Amino acid sequence: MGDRARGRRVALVLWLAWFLALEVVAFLVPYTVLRNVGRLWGAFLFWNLFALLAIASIFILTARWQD
Amino acid sequence: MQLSWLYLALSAYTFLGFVVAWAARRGLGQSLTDFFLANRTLGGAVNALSYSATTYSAFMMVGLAGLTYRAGVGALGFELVYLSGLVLAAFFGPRFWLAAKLRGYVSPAEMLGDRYESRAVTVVAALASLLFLIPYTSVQLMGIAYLLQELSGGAIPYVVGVLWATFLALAWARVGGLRSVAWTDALQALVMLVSSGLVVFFVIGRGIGGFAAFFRGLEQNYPQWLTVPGPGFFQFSTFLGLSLPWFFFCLSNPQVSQRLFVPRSLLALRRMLRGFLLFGFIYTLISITWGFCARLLLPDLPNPDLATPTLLGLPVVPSALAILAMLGIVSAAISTMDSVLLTLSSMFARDIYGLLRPGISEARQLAVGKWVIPIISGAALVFSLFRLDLIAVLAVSSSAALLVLVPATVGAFIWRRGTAKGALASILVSGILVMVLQFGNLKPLGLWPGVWALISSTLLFVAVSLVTSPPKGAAAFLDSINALLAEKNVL
Repeated sequence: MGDRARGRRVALVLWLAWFLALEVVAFLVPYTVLRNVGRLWGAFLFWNLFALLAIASIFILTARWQD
Repeated sequence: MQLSWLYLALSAYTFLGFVVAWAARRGLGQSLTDFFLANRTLGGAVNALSYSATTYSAFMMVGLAGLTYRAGVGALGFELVYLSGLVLAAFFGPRFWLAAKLRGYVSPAEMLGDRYESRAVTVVAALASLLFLIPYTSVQLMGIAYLLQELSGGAIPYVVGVLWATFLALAWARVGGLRSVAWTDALQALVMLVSSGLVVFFVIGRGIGGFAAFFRGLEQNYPQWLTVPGPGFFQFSTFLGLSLPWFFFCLSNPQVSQRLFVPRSLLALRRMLRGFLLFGFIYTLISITWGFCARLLLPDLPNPDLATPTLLGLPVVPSALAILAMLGIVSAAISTMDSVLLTLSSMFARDIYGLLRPGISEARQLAVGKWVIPIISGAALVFSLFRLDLIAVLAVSSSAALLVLVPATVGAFIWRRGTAKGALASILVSGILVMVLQFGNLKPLGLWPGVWALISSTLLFVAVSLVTSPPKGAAAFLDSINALLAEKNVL
């Protein structure tokens, strides 16, 4: 396997780990840490920040595409 | 709501839709690809709006707002988890797009069949899509008809609403294929976003007293609605059961995964995905805000599904805006329906008729596809007129049931050992399992049918693939795609 292919594979694994962590956190935090926080800065803000982070990550993931 | 204004708005919407559909038809060629995929030449902005309108049905402004009214912030989490699932489109989108361009695929089922070198895989994937998406279409029709009946105080009977919506979806799909669908979708997406956003500003500004009062009202009066499980609906198993099928929606549902074949370039595909992400985030927040506004202003509704129609009937919403918002909801439903109709007819013509009659010309497939559009519309129409319980169950189970296509789809691009027998076992056995669970209303170990669909189809795909032989061309297929992806800087 060449250096470039190895680099792509490493990047892929890192992205996969990042998105997996994001999703796990999105499912767990509102049901644990924020379970009793009846304020807008609780689950409401958390899920909004999660979505913005996911969207920003997808923008970065696709930034280097070229025709 | 004044009936004369309602009729005028519906007439203007119908007229404008036809003008756009006919204008988009110009330049339409005679090929199958031209009709069903707009010759793979759509630009990013139209694609993004059309993808948004296709994805978001009437569920958003009626179902999701009602769910927020009933269950609180869990509805936001569920919908935003779906949005984050677009990472799958960012990863698999370029693979779909390149493979379709290189090998001339028209439908996702055709792509699977070619990768696994199996006609059976194509036919089974196409049949599964038809089985679950026709009822899903009929539920959209039912939603429009109920809404018009409610808003007109019964002056527009249910049957008339169903007939009108079927006619529009059928006509706009038939006039110019994906060209007319994409352009009418784009127009409808704008109506959906602008009208729903304006309602939020009017209701919060004039009905609640501003955003500060809105936030304060929620925290003081409904703190439970800002947590999960909240008032009780969103137990973790429910949240997981709802979110999981939607997370994979962009791969499992052919009316959206087929759109990954359509952009004119890789950068147009990127614009489509990015545009959709922004649209989806804003539209989700608006839908959720509608639900919370209804919770504050109308706390005693007997049925959460009445949250939206009752909110639109409040005096703080000007009649003209209420009518525009109603058109936004109708737009959401019709833009989903016409895209589903087009995708299903392409799958019937190409993947079922085309494979059962080998050697048939592409022109003949196109003719069959055009004839099938009214037949599928007719089936959806009949289902919605009879309002059978069976249809409701099939429609509800569609997102869970179509999940069984995901392991074979993902495996096609990341696992050389994936085999046709593995794909068939995962789709057929897990499909039957989901139906048994759904019809029996069963949740073994507390897990919803969609979760079982994913577990079962993944295990079967891997296990059966490991004991059967992969197709001869699988390695070459993946190598050619991966080489092109590397050239284009795609991970």
